[in-house]
Amino acid sequence: MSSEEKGVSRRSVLLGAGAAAGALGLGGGYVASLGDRSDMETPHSLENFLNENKVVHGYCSPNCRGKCQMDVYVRDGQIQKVEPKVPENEAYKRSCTLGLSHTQRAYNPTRLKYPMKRTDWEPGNPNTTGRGEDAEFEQISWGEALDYVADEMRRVRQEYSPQSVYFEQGSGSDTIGGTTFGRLAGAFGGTMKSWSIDINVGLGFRRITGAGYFNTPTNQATDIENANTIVIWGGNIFESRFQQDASKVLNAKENGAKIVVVDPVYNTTTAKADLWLPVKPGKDGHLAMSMINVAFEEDYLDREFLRERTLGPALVKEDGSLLKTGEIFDDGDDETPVAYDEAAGEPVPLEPETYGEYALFGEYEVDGMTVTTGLTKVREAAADYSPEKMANYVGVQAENIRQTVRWLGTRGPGGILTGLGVDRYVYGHIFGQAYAILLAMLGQYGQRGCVTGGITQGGYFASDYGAIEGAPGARYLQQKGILEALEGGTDHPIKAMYAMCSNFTANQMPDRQRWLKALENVDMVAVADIQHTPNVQYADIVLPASHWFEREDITGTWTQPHVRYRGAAHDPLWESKHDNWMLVRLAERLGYGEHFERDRETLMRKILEAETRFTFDELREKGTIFIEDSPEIIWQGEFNTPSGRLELYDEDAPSEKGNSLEVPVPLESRTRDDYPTADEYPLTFLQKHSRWRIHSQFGHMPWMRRIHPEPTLDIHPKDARRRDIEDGDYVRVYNDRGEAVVKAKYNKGYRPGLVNIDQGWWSDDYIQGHHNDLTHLDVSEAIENFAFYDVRVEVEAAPDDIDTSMYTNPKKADWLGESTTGGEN
Amino acid sequence: MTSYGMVIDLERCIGCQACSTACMEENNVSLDHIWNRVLTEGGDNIDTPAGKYPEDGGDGTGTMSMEYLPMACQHCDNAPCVKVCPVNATYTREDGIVEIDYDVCIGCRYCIAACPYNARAFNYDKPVHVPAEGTGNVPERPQGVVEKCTFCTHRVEEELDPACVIACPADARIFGDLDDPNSTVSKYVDKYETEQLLEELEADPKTYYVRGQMSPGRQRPTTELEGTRRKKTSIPEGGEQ
Amino acid sequence: MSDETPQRTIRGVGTMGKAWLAILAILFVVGFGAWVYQLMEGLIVTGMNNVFAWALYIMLFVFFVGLSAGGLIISSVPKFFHSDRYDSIAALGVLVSFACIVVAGLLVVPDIGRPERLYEFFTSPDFRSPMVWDFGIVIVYGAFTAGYLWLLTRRDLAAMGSRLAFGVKDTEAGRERDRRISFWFAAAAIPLAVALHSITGWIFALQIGRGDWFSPLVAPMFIMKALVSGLGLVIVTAILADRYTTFELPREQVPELGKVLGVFVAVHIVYLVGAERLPGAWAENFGFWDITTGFLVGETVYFWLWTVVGGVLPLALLVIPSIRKRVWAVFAASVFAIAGILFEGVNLIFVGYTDLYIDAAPGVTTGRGYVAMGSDIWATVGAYTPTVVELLISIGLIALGALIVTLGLWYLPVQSGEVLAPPASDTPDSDATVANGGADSDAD
Repeated sequence: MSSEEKGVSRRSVLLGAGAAAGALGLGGGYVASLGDRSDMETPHSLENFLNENKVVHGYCSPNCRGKCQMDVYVRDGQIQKVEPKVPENEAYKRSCTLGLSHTQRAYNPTRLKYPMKRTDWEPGNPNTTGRGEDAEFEQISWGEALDYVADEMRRVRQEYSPQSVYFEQGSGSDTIGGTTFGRLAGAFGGTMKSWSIDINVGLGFRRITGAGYFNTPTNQATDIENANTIVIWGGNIFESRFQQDASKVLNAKENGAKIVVVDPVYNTTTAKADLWLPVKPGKDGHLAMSMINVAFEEDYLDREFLRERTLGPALVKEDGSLLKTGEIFDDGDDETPVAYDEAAGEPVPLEPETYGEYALFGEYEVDGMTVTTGLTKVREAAADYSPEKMANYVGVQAENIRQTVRWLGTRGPGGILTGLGVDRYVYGHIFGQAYAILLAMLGQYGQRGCVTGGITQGGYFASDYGAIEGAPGARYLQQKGILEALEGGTDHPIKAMYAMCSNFTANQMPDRQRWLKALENVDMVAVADIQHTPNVQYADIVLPASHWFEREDITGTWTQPHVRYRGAAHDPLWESKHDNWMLVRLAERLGYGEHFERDRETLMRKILEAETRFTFDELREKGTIFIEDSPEIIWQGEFNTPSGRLELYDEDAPSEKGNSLEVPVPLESRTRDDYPTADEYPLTFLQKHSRWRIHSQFGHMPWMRRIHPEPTLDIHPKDARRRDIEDGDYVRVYNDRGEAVVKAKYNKGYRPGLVNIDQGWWSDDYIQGHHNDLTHLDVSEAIENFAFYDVRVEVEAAPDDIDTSMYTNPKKADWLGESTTGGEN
Repeated sequence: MTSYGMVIDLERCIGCQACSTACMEENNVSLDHIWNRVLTEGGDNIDTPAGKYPEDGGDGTGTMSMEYLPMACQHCDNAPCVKVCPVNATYTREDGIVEIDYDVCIGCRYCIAACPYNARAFNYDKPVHVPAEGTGNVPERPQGVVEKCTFCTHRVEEELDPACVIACPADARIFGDLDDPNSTVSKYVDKYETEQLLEELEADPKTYYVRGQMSPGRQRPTTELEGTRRKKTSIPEGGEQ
Repeated sequence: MSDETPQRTIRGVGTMGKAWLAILAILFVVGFGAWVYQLMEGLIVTGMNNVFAWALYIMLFVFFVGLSAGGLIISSVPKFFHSDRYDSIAALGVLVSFACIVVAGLLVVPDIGRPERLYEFFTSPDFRSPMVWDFGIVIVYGAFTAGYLWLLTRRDLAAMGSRLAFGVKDTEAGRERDRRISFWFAAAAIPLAVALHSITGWIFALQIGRGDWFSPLVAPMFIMKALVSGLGLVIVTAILADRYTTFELPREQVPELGKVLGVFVAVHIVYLVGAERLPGAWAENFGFWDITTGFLVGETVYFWLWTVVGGVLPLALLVIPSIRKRVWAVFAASVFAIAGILFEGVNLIFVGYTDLYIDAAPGVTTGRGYVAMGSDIWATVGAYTPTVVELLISIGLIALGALIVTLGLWYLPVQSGEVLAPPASDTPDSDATVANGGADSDAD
């Protein structure tokens, strides 16, 4: 039954003055509502609406890692509200402000209603410079839209190569559509992207521990409550990750944990700290080295741990490589390192998870070679980083640096909970390496209460539905490489593109103008999305996707140990379709139809075929299934490193600017005080993740936009007044790449010299410019991770002729008062 | 006697506005109003602290501060709004909740003059919603009447906690019977340092704020009113869903 | 008994009179139209919001309640003390009071969100609410002034043969009885007036929610402000009536009334305002000059309009006998005093609604103004500007009051035949009357 047919009378009850007034031909207000009194049930007789609601399993699935399960309340075919659902493991009942606002997302004024084509685009005559803010679109049918896309893909494959078709999967949603997308890209042999975002600290950490990619792993979330000391480093947990982590960190604090926050900004997380280290931007690596220095100097070393599970005792040769057993033992190999057993008085192989009286310091002669221990090398590296020496440089008082290490070293299990802040500096990976070493020295791995990073243990379903056997497979380019391919600089330039769940090119990529220019080389851009994002505005073919609550779906999570199912609250609105629907029909047009499944339920069953712990039907009925084999405590047993131990001396380390990183060598880019443009652009520029967005999602929710109506520049009053800027003035933030015009917001929580515009605002939210017109594409050699925060800008009062009326005097939106069900546009 | 009250642990509150949003949604509140506001006690702007930034690297928590204060109707025992309403449209229920009968309210706004907490909202305009059909479980109020937080009486009567309470991701809100010495709210008011806002005005609010030492918060993940049968979803007969 | 038959005060309407009535009628009709518009669109057409929730209508309500005191006081207090000195303006005073209380009562109606429910004052009143009591007292006061006005004029009406006498006959015994009854009316009038102004004052004074209102002095100040503005209005109306109608105001009463007004202003502005401000100023400030400025300097511009325009200027005009002798001086002083009291009411409302007890960011939602994604619905202070609709409705109702006074002067023998010794017809006696040319030409 369609949502329009059923329950019209009920809806008129809810509409109250609106509809009936229309019938009476009067404006609303007093007179009209007098007239409708007879139609309306008395407004305040609180009917038992609760009993009339149908509850549908749901979950929210943007890229916030939470994937919070929700109960979706549906009445008369319309979503009335959502609530946090209690999952199988009740400790994970949670959701955030954004998830709770889904009703307004499903019925959002920016939703795409039907497929569209840019009016001045034709195959063969793409008119690529016509894309952009002024582009206009016309409605087309699904058949036409998918024909255009398929035809162009085939043509590009013919004229160029399959890799010249780019299948861009953003992080907008975790859905089985993503599985289909990857399968299709692999079948086609197209290009897909691999990440240049948020992998800096994770990969640096990984060099030491063998694990880490997006951020760094730690025990299951419920274990945080057992920590005695939590150092929240570069993460604004209570604003950007509060759905799953807030209550657990608060419980830890209530249990007596000390909370230390390392952040240049005094924010919600800092406000809950016992100790704040207001580190200067970009100096996290230096601060971590200083802490390592303290750990040595005040001796908080966990010798037993170091001997059993790390390369602390591993012998290092003068050339910097590790001594291997093969070099001194006949039965040795060129993999296993060697330690000096003090009890035995001789070198021995250093096997994983094996304790011995290994020397942790000292110089030794072995077979004529002078060797020292890995831990000695670390101590040497940290020698120049005493807190007293570094205090001014990093902006933290020496005593507080010491206090932090003291707590970590003496209060039992605890550790460092990382956010993604440090990732966004060019050399953030060095911090990852350094803090992994610090925790290794303190023995903070593998126990109840240890905190080694920010990614708590998740849960997944087993699946073998992915690549098609015999398919060519996709070419993966890291995102900077994608840009080069778009610009035409590689073997297989990108000439056609299908973007799904992505707002990258037009909104989220650094040095945005360069990406937009690069797009001019692409003949066909198809974008599938739920809402009319800036990326959609740059499309040639627009494909309307259904909202998450309009489709059945299953997903795991990488930060909480449940697998979950969501049902459809109602049919997709207007002509929107779920991604699988679109992709299957595209695949059919491209000749791969036999490998794809039209029916969504059949597809889900196929995906879950390899799962033995539960069935699809069980999952559908229960809504959530707790994955019991998700480990509660990790880092048990051998580490996933060449030596099986924590490689706090890393002989395979990469180099960075000529510095070899066997031990950490903190480096900086723009945050250096003597950086060439430091005088011209004296302010460092953050674009933090706020509690109002998941990247660029949830920005157009009327409820929350009232609390945070427009992009603002957080600036310390001192910096502002020096530039004659008052609180609430409009300002121009600029550097030699671009500008953004926003409203200034005095915020004493920001270190003078540091400013912020929250990331995720859409280009049409800006009066002028965009925050990503200010960022750049410089990356490290080792990781190639985009350094959004490693940017310099200057700020001045906005010119007088800027039109700020969209915020200072907004006109009535044409979607106010509009019913959202139904097909008209 | 029942006397429903709320304890909000400000040491746990992270100012995320989930409670504010859940309330808007549950009660179909017009976009002109917010019944349950989360305020920033700190700088002049939302989400900013007061104090002096420690440029010398000192421990800033000594000089800087920022706390969040969720504020809605305090459901006072000596409610001035109840006393001033000329037509008894605003009244105190037997269970202590201060409620408005929207059919009786004449819209004189005396109650808005009386409330020291600015907890009340008057519908100057026709209510406006997105989606236009409204949301949640409470019908829309007509233009010309006053409205405010009702402690979700429509849910309480179904033995469910208010929407804001179950939405809080920090478990900072606890709802219950202040007349029952064994209820969590009574215990927390007793054990922790709680304050009532504007206590000196003697309106005697039934909303208590914990400051200083953090409490364990709301320790139930499920939605039922404390002391009633356990329900996972907010369907009274729903039970285990 | 005088030989003169009592006559209506306005015998006929000349072009000026017609123009006056026409203007009033137009203003009233336009105001009424504005009210209908407001009923259709709701209170969104006013300038009020959830922080500043009472505004022009209530400011004027307070103002007109105050104005309605003077007439009744001037007609009843002397009578109560068995003086007939001011009998000549007694009926005029009561007429003005009646008109003012009608305007005041009506001014509240546009402020009500759902006026069709006003009957609920009768069906479900809450007697804890000062508003219920104020509702009652306004109605009682209105009925009382109407009755008292009729009582004062009914014998003359009978003598004129007017229908408005309602069957009463003009007899000496009747007049004697009326004089006795009016003594009791006068006696009742005083507590009634005190009740009216105190209760209206208590609407504000009892509210802890608006800190600057919560003070025991508010009710007495409401009484004093009523005396000041009410007497001022009676003086102004009497002088104008003397100039434009047959009404005659004895010349020597002008400085006398002026002296009384001066005393009222002094007690109100100098003493009561001072007494109200001193405790707060002293407790909040430390240095001598800080205390003094805290005491003397008000929070809003309306404070200055009230105390300087409504206090200093009238006192300057009324304190010196040689100036007080002049009619223009007393007239001007009365106008200033009335204006001052108007701004006192404005100041009262502003002071209550400007500051919030808890004004942390982002503040209170205003309850209006959501139009688009960029809308800002927040306020941490109260701000208000009246809209055209509010002004039109208010002016319309004030015009109604002026209409009532005018029609009263037209239809009623406001000046009692007993007091008026010389007839006010062809040869006006310029010694006894305030203004010459008092009688309009008789169009009958």
